Amino acid sequence: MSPVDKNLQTQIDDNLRRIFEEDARADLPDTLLTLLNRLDEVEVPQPAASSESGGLAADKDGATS
Amino acid sequence: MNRQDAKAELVGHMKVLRAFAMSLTRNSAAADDLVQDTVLKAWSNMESFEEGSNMRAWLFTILRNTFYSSRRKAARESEDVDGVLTGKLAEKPAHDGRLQYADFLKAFDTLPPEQREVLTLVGALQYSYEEAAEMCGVKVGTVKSRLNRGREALAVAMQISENEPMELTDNATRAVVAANGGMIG
Repeated sequence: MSPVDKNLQTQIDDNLRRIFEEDARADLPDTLLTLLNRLDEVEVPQPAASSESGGLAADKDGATS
Repeated sequence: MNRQDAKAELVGHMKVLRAFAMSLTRNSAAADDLVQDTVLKAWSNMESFEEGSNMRAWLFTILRNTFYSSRRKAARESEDVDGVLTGKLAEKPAHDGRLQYADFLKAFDTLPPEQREVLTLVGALQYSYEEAAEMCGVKVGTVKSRLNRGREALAVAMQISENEPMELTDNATRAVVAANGGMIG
C-alpha cells in the first residue's frame, strides 16, 4: 500500500483524537470511583518484581504486529 | 514516592487511562475491568515506579500488558479465535454516503488492537515513535509498521466514503483485512 496522503493523515489523526477525547471526557463508573476511594485499604505486598509493571520496557509481551 | 502523592497523581490519570483502555477493548465493561486491574497492579507495585518519570506512560504500559496477557489467555481457551477474528474483520463497514464519524469508528473498531494502540498513542496522543515503542515493548520499526497499516486501512475507508463507488466496497474490506495480515483471494 502507498503512504497515506498528508491531508488525509491529518483527518485521520483528528478523528483518532476525537475518539480518545470523547472517551476521556466520560465520567468514571462507580466501580472505579469506589476503587479509588478504597485504594488505601488495599493490602500492598512487599516489593516484588512483576512482569507487567517492572518498568516501561519490562514486558515485551509478545504482541504481534 | 509518597503513597498519597502517588494516589493523587494516579487519580489524575484515571480518565485518560480509561480512554486508553477503550481504545484497546472498544467495550466499556471490558475497559472498566482492565482499568481496575491496572490500578490494583500499579498500586501494589508503586515502589517500582521511578519518581519523576512519566506515570501516565507507566500506567499505559501496565494496562496494555495486562490487556494482552488476558487476550492471550482467552485465545488459549478458545479454539476458534482466529475464525471469530477473521469473521469480524471481514465485516463490511456501512457506506451510506460520505464516511461519517460513526463509520470511521466502525473502521477503527475492525483494526487489531496492536494497530489501534499505536494509532492512539502516536496519532491521537502525539507520543513519539520511540516513546510508543517503549510503552509497547516493541521496536520503533514495529510501531511505524503498525501505524502505517492502521492509517492506510482508515484512509481507504475514508476515500471510499468520499467517492462512494459501491464497487470499491470490497476493496475497503480487502484493505482492512490486508492491514490485519489476513489472506484475501
